[in-house]
Amino acid sequence: MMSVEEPGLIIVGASLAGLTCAQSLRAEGYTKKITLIGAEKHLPYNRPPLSKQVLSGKWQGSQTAIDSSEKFAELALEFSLGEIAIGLDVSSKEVKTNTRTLPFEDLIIATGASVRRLASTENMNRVHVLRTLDDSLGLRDALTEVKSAVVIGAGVLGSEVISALSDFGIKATVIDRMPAPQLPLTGGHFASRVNDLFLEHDVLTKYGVEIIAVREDESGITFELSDGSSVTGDIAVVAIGCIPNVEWLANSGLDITNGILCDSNGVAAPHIYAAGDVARWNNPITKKAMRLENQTSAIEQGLAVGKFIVTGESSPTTHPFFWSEIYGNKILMLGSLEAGVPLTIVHGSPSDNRFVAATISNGTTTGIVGWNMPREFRQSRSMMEA
Amino acid sequence: MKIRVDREACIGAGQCALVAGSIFDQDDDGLVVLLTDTPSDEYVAFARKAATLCPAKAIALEE
Ligand SMILES: Cc1cc2nc3c(=O)[nH]c(=O)nc-3n(C[C@H](O)[C@H](O)[C@H](O)COP(=O)(O)OP(=O)(O)OC[C@H]3O[C@@H](n4cnc5c(N)ncnc54)[C@H](O)[C@@H]3O)c2cc1C
Ligand code: SF4
Repeated sequence: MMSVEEPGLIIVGASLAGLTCAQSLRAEGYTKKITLIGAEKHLPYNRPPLSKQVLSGKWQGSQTAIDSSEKFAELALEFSLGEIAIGLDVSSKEVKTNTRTLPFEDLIIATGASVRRLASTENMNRVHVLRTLDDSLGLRDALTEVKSAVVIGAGVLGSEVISALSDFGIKATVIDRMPAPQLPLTGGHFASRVNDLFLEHDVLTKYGVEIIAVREDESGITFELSDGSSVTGDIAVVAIGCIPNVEWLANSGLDITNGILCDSNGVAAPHIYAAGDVARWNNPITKKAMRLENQTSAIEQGLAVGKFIVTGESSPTTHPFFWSEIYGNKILMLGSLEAGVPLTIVHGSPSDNRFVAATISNGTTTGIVGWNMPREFRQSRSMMEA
Repeated sequence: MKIRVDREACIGAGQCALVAGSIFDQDDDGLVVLLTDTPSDEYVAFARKAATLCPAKAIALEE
């Protein structure tokens, strides 16, 4: 039986990282009360399908749920949804929310990240962003009604959105201030491959330009660009990255520069931990603190924090991993590819559109990517451990 | 315990086969294949680990 004693542990942010912390705590034998405070009204759900299966219409929104409320009840997790943390007092160990003040014995901050907005477009009806389930459902509805769309940002999210547009037969334009598309952790090695996919699908590309002005009217939304040209679409999707949700910690005394600074166990201050997209963990190997924005890092940090709180034991540092699907191409990435180091092809061949490639410098494999070759990708993962 | 996998959600990351190779395998497309849907008691912890680690949350456990 679980003995539930106050004040217990509070997790702010009821999404992947927060939930994984809670599951890990229970798996390690934590018996005190666990409360998850979440600003969204939904129980924890998966975001990756929001730009993939949900956006394309293959999935209902409800299919993104991570687990059932019965499962959460079995773990004695208490959810308070629609509640927003607005302040933290480190010395009195209290979290202030929009409705109450909560004392805690331990606190885990897992407030994730929010989309970066494009200045002056915040209130425009034709402008969409994509971070939450509600964003995805709203964008999906819009896609069934429009003929053209402008995507701002040719990163991984922008690229996934652009490829979804072609499923709907929507004419796409992409604008980016960088000279080429960018996938995270790939060191620029996939810029031309992704660009080729855009061109094959008749995407109009505008790289290396700044947006000078945005205008919305009955006929559409128009972006005036620094090269003197302008582009118009029925809607726009802004995918220019994320910023960590740390404003509520502004007066806490924690170091919140680009995410909450933590040691390699996720400790931000005594009894205060952070995990997931909001956290900037120190990496003992590279000696750098980095914010990682992917599912696997959120899960692994969640597991590590739960274990550390209960047992005091550290978990090994792992390599970042992410995946994407662009025009049906399945991309898997482990570690990070080094810019300027030529790719070594490990399996398959790029001309067949199926390969596993790595960057190897001084005998050390720094990153592996699988392009439509998941099985061989897994077999190659051992290169990173060697 | 009974395991269910959602092959439409699976992205072929292979975490499951790495931590619990006696329960999960991958087909030629890298998608998860269950070797057994009812693991024996000594493997239950591995199944749980795989479900937590799966980045696509494609593994569900009914206990
Ligand atoms: C469209 C999309 C596609 C993606 N695709 C991939 C992919 O293919 N592969 C991959 O690895 N990763 C992908 N990601 C990234 C992945 O979803 C994130 O890394 C992951 O969600 C991080 O989890 P988290 O719990 O740290 O943060 P989040 O999921 O951002 O959750 C934080 C939660 O905290 C809540 N919150 C914030 N502030 C407060 C507050 N003050 N009080 C209470 N609650 C608060 C938020 O409302 C939110 O629910 C994708 C993300 C998006 C948006
Ligand atoms: S860990 Fe999940 S996503 Fe990866 S192969 Fe297994 S079921 Fe599929």
